[in-house]
Amino acid sequence: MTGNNKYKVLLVGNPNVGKSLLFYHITGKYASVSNYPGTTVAITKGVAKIGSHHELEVIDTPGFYNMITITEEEAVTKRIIFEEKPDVILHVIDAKNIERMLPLTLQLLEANLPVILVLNMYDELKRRGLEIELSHLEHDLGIPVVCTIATKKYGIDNLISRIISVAEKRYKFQPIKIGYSTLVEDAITRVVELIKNEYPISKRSLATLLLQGDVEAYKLIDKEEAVDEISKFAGGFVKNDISLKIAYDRHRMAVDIIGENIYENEKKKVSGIKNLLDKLTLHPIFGFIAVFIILYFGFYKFVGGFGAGTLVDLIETNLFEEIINPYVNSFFSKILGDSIFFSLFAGDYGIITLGVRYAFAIVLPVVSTFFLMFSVIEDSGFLVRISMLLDKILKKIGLSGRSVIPLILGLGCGTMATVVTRTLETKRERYLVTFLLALTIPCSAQLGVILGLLGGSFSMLMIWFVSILVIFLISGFVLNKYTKGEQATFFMEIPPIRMPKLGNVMVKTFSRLKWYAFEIIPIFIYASALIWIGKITKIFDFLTYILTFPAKWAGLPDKMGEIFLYGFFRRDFGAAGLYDIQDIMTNKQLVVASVVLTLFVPCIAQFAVMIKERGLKTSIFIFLSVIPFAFIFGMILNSILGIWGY
Amino acid sequence: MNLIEAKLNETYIVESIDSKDDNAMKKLLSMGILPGTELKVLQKKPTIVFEVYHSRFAIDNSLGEKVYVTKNHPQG
Repeated sequence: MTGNNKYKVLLVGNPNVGKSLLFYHITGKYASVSNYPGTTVAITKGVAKIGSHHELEVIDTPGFYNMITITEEEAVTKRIIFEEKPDVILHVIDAKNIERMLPLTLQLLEANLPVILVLNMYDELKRRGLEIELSHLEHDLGIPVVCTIATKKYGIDNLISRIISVAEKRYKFQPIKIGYSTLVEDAITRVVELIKNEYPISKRSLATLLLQGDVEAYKLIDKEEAVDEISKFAGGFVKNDISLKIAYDRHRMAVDIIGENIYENEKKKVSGIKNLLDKLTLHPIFGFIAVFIILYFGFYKFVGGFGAGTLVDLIETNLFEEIINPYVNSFFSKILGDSIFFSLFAGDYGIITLGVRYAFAIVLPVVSTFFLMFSVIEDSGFLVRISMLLDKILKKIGLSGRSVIPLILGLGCGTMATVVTRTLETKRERYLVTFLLALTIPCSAQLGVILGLLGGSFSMLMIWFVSILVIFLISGFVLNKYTKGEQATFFMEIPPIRMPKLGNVMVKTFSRLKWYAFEIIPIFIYASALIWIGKITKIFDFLTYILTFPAKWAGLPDKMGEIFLYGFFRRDFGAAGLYDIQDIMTNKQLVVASVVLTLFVPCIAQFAVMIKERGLKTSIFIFLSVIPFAFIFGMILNSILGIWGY
Repeated sequence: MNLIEAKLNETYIVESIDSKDDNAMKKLLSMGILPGTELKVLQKKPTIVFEVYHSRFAIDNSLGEKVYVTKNHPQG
């Protein structure tokens, strides 16, 4: 063999089947263990060197249910299948759900693609008392079938050797022919006759897509084809529920194949405690209680108390204030003297003394404890339960249960959450969530400081919390009323409650932190530089001056103007600035300032991502409506608290 | 009857799916819901939860009302 052989391997399949973890085991690079739809939204590529002369380029695709695609993510996967010409496609499925997932395997092999069926979570199938006739199943389908347990690294070597043999075309595919009922079969035959050229997928597969009116399939076929004739012919079938008929035939075939190859070994019962916990967390009353318990201990106690309290104190006070900052200040004053460059690096707003300090002392502890907690509730299957429990309530403000995921993630980082809105199904819901993230949801950096400021007094914290909740509901309600489009529907698979695996949780937390470190922390540093430029050019003084007016109207000290301005460059700069001046403020001012700052425009990073995801026009609209809203509410709250005599 | 009217802890056979809403139908198909599929209603509040094959799904009423079911009479 000469030189390197590079092969392209594609991972496809439903969400929640362990694709990302398999990707990690094959490539050794971590993507993100996708448990909620969204972690694999961006296409992840990795390279694996196998021996001395094989190289696999592995591409992890977003969740994929059917060749007829619903969401944008699925369409992306289909486009990759069409365009990338993979040497091997791994269809990863959850072994115990083979009945539901095999129809997609059938579609892939009907398309004449080099598919390997990967039965992942093989242990869960066994645990259900099911047995599989592997070699027989492989024979029936005519494609390689491999069992794996990604969480335990089981079956990976075998999988890699099958990948190589398929890539080198040493495996003889004899894919089973998918038979349809006469009506469908005749229609397919007719369309196949009309297709002249060759495409990345078989004519037969293309014909089924065209018959179902699939947009991407029509985009795929050349202009010289008899497009009009095909679409006219297909039109009659689309009206006649052809999708349902096709799906039904494939499904029946899948059931037949499975009937012959999977049998029940013995009835096994799941453990009593697990079962009880599973039921309770889904229960309309106990489920909510469980949500509150998790929120209280997980977020309030662990993230708020331990992360934002203990850890921040430790790093901020003991490390930065006492050791690093004095050292940095004296170091730069020695080499730069009193010049303006001194304040670029050191002093009150220097890159090191402010940018790096906030990044490591305030944001890092809070964000890491938050992401750790988030990974735990995600992997345990709890996040899905929160979505399901809150769906009905969220419907009242035009959202679906699915939006719980970006909204909760927003409590960690609004920028990341804005990216994750991609997983929502309708444009309308994505817009609504983006707006609410910009206006109401405090990110963990803000949350950390606010908990630190108000945490000492329960009544202050409650006033802040209730204010934000009320605004969340009111703005949600108003936005829902005045935004065009249809209400999003909700459906979600509910995984069993599982004990999260420490390794997976750590890896996932770490990959999110890494994202944060590479995407967000540099912006911190740039923002420090911007603040420096703004200060020496006096532009900031002017903007600060303007912002002191609305601050005054809401009964806040002048210094708040400056904090609001920094709040844009980093929401947490603002919050941390508030932290620094807490001594000169009354309790009422502190609450009002916390609320206004939470509502005030998102940080510069989130704004940039908003523009990327929602477009410039929408982002500016959101931006400009948030500013007056924040101050008007601040004034209202100030008056209410005044009347109340707080 | 549709899935909203179905009773808790009962097993049903899917009779038909309302195919007027193309998007809703695709979603139901992706869950493996087809005429003839057997499903068990596990919960109705706050959303419908049912078991199909070995998975559980939560769906809202707007999808639930599109699935028509009949009671499954155990045979023999």
